Formats: sequence, C-alpha cells, structure tokens
Amino acid sequence: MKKIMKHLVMLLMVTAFIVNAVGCGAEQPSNDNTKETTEENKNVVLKVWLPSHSDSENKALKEIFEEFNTSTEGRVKAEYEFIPRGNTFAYEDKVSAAVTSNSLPDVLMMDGPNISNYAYSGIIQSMDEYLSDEELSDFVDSVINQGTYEGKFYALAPSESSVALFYNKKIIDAAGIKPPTKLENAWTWEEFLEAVKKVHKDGEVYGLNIHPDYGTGEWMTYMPTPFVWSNNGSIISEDGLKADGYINSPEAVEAMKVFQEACKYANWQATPIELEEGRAAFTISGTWIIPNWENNYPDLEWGVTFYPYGKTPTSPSGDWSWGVSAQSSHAKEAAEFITFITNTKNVVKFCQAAGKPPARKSSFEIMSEWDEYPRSVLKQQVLSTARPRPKTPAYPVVTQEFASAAVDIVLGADVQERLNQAAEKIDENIRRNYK
Amino acid sequence: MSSRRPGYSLGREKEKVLLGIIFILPAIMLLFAFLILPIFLAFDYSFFSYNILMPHKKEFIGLSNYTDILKDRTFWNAMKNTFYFVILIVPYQSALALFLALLINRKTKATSIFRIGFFSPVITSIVVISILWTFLYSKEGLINNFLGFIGIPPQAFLTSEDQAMNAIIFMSGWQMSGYFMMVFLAGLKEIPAMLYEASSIDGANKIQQLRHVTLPGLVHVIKFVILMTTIQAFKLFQQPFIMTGGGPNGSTETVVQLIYKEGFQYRNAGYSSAIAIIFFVLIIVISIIMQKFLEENESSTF
Amino acid sequence: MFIFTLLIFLLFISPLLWMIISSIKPEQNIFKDMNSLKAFIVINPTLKNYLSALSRVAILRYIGNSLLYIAIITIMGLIINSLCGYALAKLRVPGRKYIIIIIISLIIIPFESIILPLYLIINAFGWANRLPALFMPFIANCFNIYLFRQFFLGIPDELEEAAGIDGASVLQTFITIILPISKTVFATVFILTFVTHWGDFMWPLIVASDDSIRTIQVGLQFFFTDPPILYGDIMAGLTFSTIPLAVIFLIFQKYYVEGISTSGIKG
Repeated sequence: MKKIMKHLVMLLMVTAFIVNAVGCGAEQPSNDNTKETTEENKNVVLKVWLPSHSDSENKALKEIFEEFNTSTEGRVKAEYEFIPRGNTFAYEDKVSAAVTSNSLPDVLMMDGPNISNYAYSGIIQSMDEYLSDEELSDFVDSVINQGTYEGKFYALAPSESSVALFYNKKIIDAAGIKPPTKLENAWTWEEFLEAVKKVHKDGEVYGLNIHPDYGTGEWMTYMPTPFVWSNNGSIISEDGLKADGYINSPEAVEAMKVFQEACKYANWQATPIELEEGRAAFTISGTWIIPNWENNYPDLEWGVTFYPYGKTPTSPSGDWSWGVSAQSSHAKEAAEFITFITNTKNVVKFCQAAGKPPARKSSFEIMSEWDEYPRSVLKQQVLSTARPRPKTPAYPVVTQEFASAAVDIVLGADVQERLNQAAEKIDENIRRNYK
Repeated sequence: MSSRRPGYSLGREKEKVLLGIIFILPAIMLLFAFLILPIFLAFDYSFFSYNILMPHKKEFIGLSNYTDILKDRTFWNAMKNTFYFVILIVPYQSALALFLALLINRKTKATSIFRIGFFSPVITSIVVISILWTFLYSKEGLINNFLGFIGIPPQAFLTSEDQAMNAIIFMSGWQMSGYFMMVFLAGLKEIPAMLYEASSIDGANKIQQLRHVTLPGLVHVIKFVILMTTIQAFKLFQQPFIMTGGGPNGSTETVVQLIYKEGFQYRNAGYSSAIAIIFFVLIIVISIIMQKFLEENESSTF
Repeated sequence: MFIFTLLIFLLFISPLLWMIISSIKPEQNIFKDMNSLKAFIVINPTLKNYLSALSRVAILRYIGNSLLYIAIITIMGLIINSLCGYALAKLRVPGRKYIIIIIISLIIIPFESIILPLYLIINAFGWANRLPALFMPFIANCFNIYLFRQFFLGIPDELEEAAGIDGASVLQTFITIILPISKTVFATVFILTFVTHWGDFMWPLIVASDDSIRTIQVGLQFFFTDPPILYGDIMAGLTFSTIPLAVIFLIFQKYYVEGISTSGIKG
C-alpha cells in the first residue's frame, strides 16, 4: 500500500510539474485574455464563440479580432474562444447546452443551415436594425438567402463554399476527355456518367471518389442535394414542415438514382487520397481541397469542372456565418463587430487565408485569382448556380435522415423505398417537435 | 457473506454499523448529486415536449413521449440491435478475457510484455482502431485477402446490412477483452498460492487445477465480469458511431446512439429522456434477474 | 505455447504498432502502404510529424490538464469507492441489499442520457468552465464500488475475525489487514479508471471550453477537423497522448507480478 501511495503522490507531483512547466506550450488558436474582466463599466465586453478553423484561418481571424479591439479600445472589447468542432456536431451540442443554462456568448458563429433553425428557436436576433440595404447588396445572393428567415435577416457569412467535380488530369487526358470550363457547357448527368464509366477500370482506377463519412456529419447532405435540386426537386416543403411528397418525390427519386448509379464506380471505403495517388479519376469535393492540393500535393495535375446537373445547373453553398445571440444585451456592439469582420478588406484577408471564395462581390473584385481557371469555375458557381440548404426549423432532423438515406443509397438500397422511409421519419419528428 | 458468530462483542457489531454508514456516506452523497439527481431530472423531462433550444416553450404532455416511443420503429430496431449485440458479445468477450488472463498468468519474463500487448487495444485511441479495422474489413483488406486464400469470396462486412453488426461485435470483443483480462488477472492473484501447492501435492494436473482451484476461486470475479460486460454492452455507442454511423440501413444503430441523436442532434430532450427511462428500467430488471441467478448459483457453480 | 501466445500478442498489439510506425512516416506513405505489410515498416523515419503536431496544438499542456483532473478522479475515487465497497461487502449497512441493487442499476445509466441535467447541476454549482466540473461528477463510481465489493467478498471472514479477536478495531482491520492484501485490486481500479477517463471527450468539450483547462482528447480534435488534415500529425498526436497511459500501466502492472508470492492469504 505504501508503495501505491508513493506512486500516486509521485504521479500528482509530476502532473503538477507538467501543468506548470509546460504552461506556455505551443501557440494555440485560442485567446489568453478571456479571463480579464472590465475595470470600467463603459467598456463593453463581447463574448464570441467560433469553431476552430484551419491554422491559417485561425491566425487571420485572430489578427482581424485584435485589429477590431485596437480600433475600439476603451469602448468595446471582443473576447473570443475558438472551439474544436469535433468530428460530428460537437460544437452544436455545446451551443445547445449553453442555451439551456442561459450562457450563450454575445456573438456566435453557426453553420449556414442552422441559421433558420436558430432563428426559429429564438436563440439569435435579427440584425436588420444594424445593417443597411446597401451593405447587404454587396453580398452574394446565396448568403442573403441563407441568412434570411421569415423576412428578417439574421446572420452574415464572410465566405462561401461550393462543391464541384474535381479530377486527376493525367487520367482524364489519357482517356481523351475534355471537361467543360464554361458554365453554359456544364455536363449534364448523362455526360457525367459517360465520363465516369469511360475512365473506370475495375480493380485499377475508380471512376469516382466520394469521401464517405457514414452519414454522421453534414457532408452527405451538403454534397448530394444538388442532384435533387438540379432536377427541380427539393427535400422539404417551402415552409420546412413536410417531407412526404418532397424528399420522396419522383424528381428526388430520379436524381438519387443517378447519384446511386455514379457511386457504383466509386470505392465506398476509399482511402482519403485515392485520387491523389492516381487510383480514382473524379471526385466530388469542396473548395477546401484546392489549398490542400497546392500545399501538400504540388506535383498533382488536377482540374475542376461544374457540378453535373439534371434540368437546372445547381451547386451547393453555405458556410459558417456570424450572428448575434438573443441573450446578448450588447446587440449594437455585436453588430458593429460583425460588420467589421465582414467588411470588404477583412473578407479578403480571411478568404485568402482560407482559400475559400468570398461572400462579397467587392471582395471578388480584389481577389483576381478567382477569375482564372481553375478557381473561375467555382466563382461562376458561387455567383450563378449556388443554392443554400433548405430553411426549416427541423433542419437537424432533415439533414440527418437525408444523409443516412444517401449513405444507404450509395450502398445499394432501393431509392424509392429508402426515401419514403426518410420522409416518414422526418414528418414524425416534425409532428412531435415543431407543431 | 459475513455472518454473525458467537464470541463477537456487541461493541464490534455497533462499530460495524457505524463505520458502515460512514464508509458509504461520501460515495452516496456524490452519487446522489451527480447521478441520481440528474436521473430524476431526466425522468421529469420525459413528460414534456422539450426542445433544448427553446426552454421557454417546454410543455407538459403527459405520457405522449412514452406512447410515441412504443410506436417508433426506429426505437424497436435499436432495441433489437442492442440485444443482438449483448447476447453475442457477452460470452465471446468474457471468454476471451478469461482465456487471455489464463494464458499469461505465469511468472516469466515475457509475461509483462504480453500483458501490455493484450491490454494495448484498450489504451489505443478508438480512432486509430477504427481506421485500421475499416481497412481490415474493406473489399481489398487483409481479412478478405485471407478469406480469398481459403476459397471464400470477398465479404462486404461493414457495408452490408447483414454483416455490419457481426463485424462490429468481432472487433469490439477483441478491443475490450484486455479490460476485463486485467480484472481476471487481479482475481487470479487473490487465489491463495497454497491451494495450488496443495493440489499439486495431491497430483492434480493443469486442467484439474483449473477446474478445482482456479475457477472456484474466481467465482466472484467471473460473476462480476459477466454482469459488467452485459451492462457495458447495453451502453454500446462509440464503435458503431464512428465506424458505421448506425448504418447500413439502421442495422448497427443502438439505443444509446438513439438517445444521443434524439436528445442532442434533434434537440428533443423530452423524447430522448423517455427512451432513456424505458431503457433504464428494462436493464435494471435484467440485471436484477441476472444478479439473482448468479447469487443463487453461488454455491453450486463449479 | 509460447509461439501461440506470441501470435495472439501480435494480433493485439498491431493497432498500437501501426499508430507508432505511422507517426514516424512521411505523410504520403501512410495510406500508400496500407494494403500490405508495408504498413508496419518504416523506410525513411522522420520526426517531422511530431514537430508539426507540437507546433500546431499545445499537446503537452493539454496532457498536463488531463493528467491533473484524472489524477484527482482516480485518487479520490480509490479512497471513496474502496471504503464504500468494503462497507457493502463486510460491514453492517442498513438496507445493504437494496443499496447494492441500486448501485448496480446506476452503472447502467448511459452517460449520454444525463448530460443535459448534469450540465444544469454543474452550472448551478457555478463550475462551468472550471476544473471541478471535470472531476466532481466522476469521483464516486458505481462500477468501481461494485468491483471493490466483489473482491472484498472473496477475502475469508476468518481473517478479519482473527484480527477482531486480537483486539483490532474495524478501521484498523481495514487498514492493516485488508489493504495490504488488496494491492492488485487497487492497481486494477487505478488503471481502469485512468484509461476510462483518458478517453473522455464529449463532457470536457461541453463544460471546459476554456483553453486553460482544455483536455487532451478535446485538443486532439483540432487535428481531425482543422485543415490541413494530416494523418502523420494525427498519429503523432495520438502517440503522444498514449504515452501517459502506457507509463501508468507499466508502473502499476508491477502489482500483478508481485501478486502470487506476497498477496496470497497465508492462513
């Protein structure tokens, strides 16, 4: 026993030592002055929550926040916390927990589709009072659309996102395929399927690569929904309260059958770098893959083309947006903070660090790299074909059920049957929670 | 069990009562504040329609959540999956744990290395394990290569509705057996060495020793492990959550996953709490039955 | 027999081995080597992943934070739970039978189902974002109480009775007779509790977002979700986070070796 106690004491001491000595470890995307409280009451302290982004984005954001704090010295001070997102919805869970105990921050960042859900629940407040029409008109349509709920505007995104069809240029060239670079020539489903089949070689090269996440995150909604939309279908009614007749409509079923067909040429249990290694030709992926390839795979020859469509070219959109919590008593200062971090200059700074398309037209003008191929493809999508995910108070249910259905469809489930099942689950949940 | 014997002073008996209460008090107080109280709160939520983003709209709805659950196919499916998992994993994992413990319950130099090896899946991040097993289970993975070698066509494992749960069971048992191996090892150390000495003097061989010394000596531990494995198996959450997300087609979704999904993702604390309460009551009944069964067999086992 | 044990050993240790080996491989090789035994061989070992991982996330400090709160849980827990387990096994607690059933039943509660109410309680104590939120709910542990109880049951009553006849009080008996022969159990509970809490993710994320008390599992999430997602960095970070567990295990497993010779109950 004495020995055990000795070990325990030793362990405690070592622990205390590590905690103290290594206290100043590596540079962290978080702020050390969150503890400081205001000495004078006139100095408004804004509490800010945001999910941790990439290293370079975190750095840029920190600089922007500090610049804000300097410019409002003695009047407003933003205290920010970068919060890990976890591999699923951990950040959202934390927000939910904070709501129950009235401990939301003044300003919080939320994923695009959550805006309407949060607005419906009354946990964020409208920013109409603080934003001029002139200011808003500089943002791309998809951001305005996404930030609006029942006629009021709630949250601003500094950046946009998009998903397109990327490819390994060597394989595509060898097959003699020339993917379009102009929107008017964008591939239809038939052309897309034909190309995928042509490059697919059993056991050697997969025609398509999709990043599987087993439907536990947002990806399997965000990525495949344009199939449905471009067939003039949708996954939920206009008021966001009915799925039956929408998610399982003939348009949606037809679209998801095409998606299923394409995925027959994909390896579901893909390694994350199948295309990079020349074992997959196409991948449906997001804008974020560009900086990754440029930094980590400089030798990879790649290209990108538009999201293939059924009847109307459509691409997904939506990124993390800034909103003011309903619990905040400093809405004016919060709006000032948000306006500052989403001004033209700061949007450019953030988007350059992120490698994402900006959400402001004036920022696009400064960032000329988006006028050149390959980025021009994504800019055209953001300006002309972008569509935010559906606005519904039941979004968490809709996305989870659709994503699980999409996964099963990839694995070969009967499309009509599986979507009927999703419709039933969503409607049942809406009946219980939102009526 | 402790029994009253003549010759015991009354003072000592009193001390046993007094100290008994003092000894359990700290634990009981902490359990009350951080476990029992939350359960009561959850019980309370289960009668409400309670969207966690809208606490002000919390509304009493009586037993509606309960009646809804009984009609909810997702719930019954999760129940079925959970029971299937429990029934298969308990014998498999407990036997494996005991086997590993017996395998290394010897005093050789290699023993401590083997011990840490068998325990290592427990301390290795579930993320690493699931990446590795996803590869092992993949179409071109090691397991399918091996099956091909002995003439069995490649299996879909994690992407097949019929096999995914079995694949998860196989992996989970392998991963967690080290945990209870440690409990068995601790139990083996408690068996007095003289019993072994005595039996070898009597000329008992290894297998007879196992039957007549080791297993009877482990009886409390075996009961403990079986009961705990059962309870932990009912709480299965992480492995399917990470490896299959509950799919394909809900075939690996467990009740605890459903509790988490309804409560946090779908933000419906009332419904989620009601599932938790039903589940809780059910497992209490099962463990009381098991406890009874195990206690009754106390003297007759082995 | 030895060869057989060795084979099983390799089967069990392979993930740990793969993690360590991948952590010293160049990023591009990790998945390239995956479909063959090359996964377990390093040709060009590099420490680049470690340097990169350490510069991106304050791993050491987060490990320190985790060690601190888990050490509090385990040490306080050993005392409180062993006393409770002993009382339930050997002392005269009124309503003992029912308390035991309640304790077993409480093991069943999936933590996920009480997170919300527990969060409210922690908030009511004013512990949000403070260290007690991390350890207070976990010190008393039904699993450990029950485990202690089962082990103490296995100790023959005669031992304590003998001590009682010699005039030792119950408390003295516990300290001088029971504790010395229960080292292995204490070591087991220590290891198992430590391992269990080392993996905590959801709860620390919700109650401890402040960087000053952020735990290692929460910190590691940066590698998974903040691009660039580099598997080399992930493996390096995970290897780092496994070291404390390995050390704990190596220290405390000694008590398993000593077991037979010293803790055997000799009449």
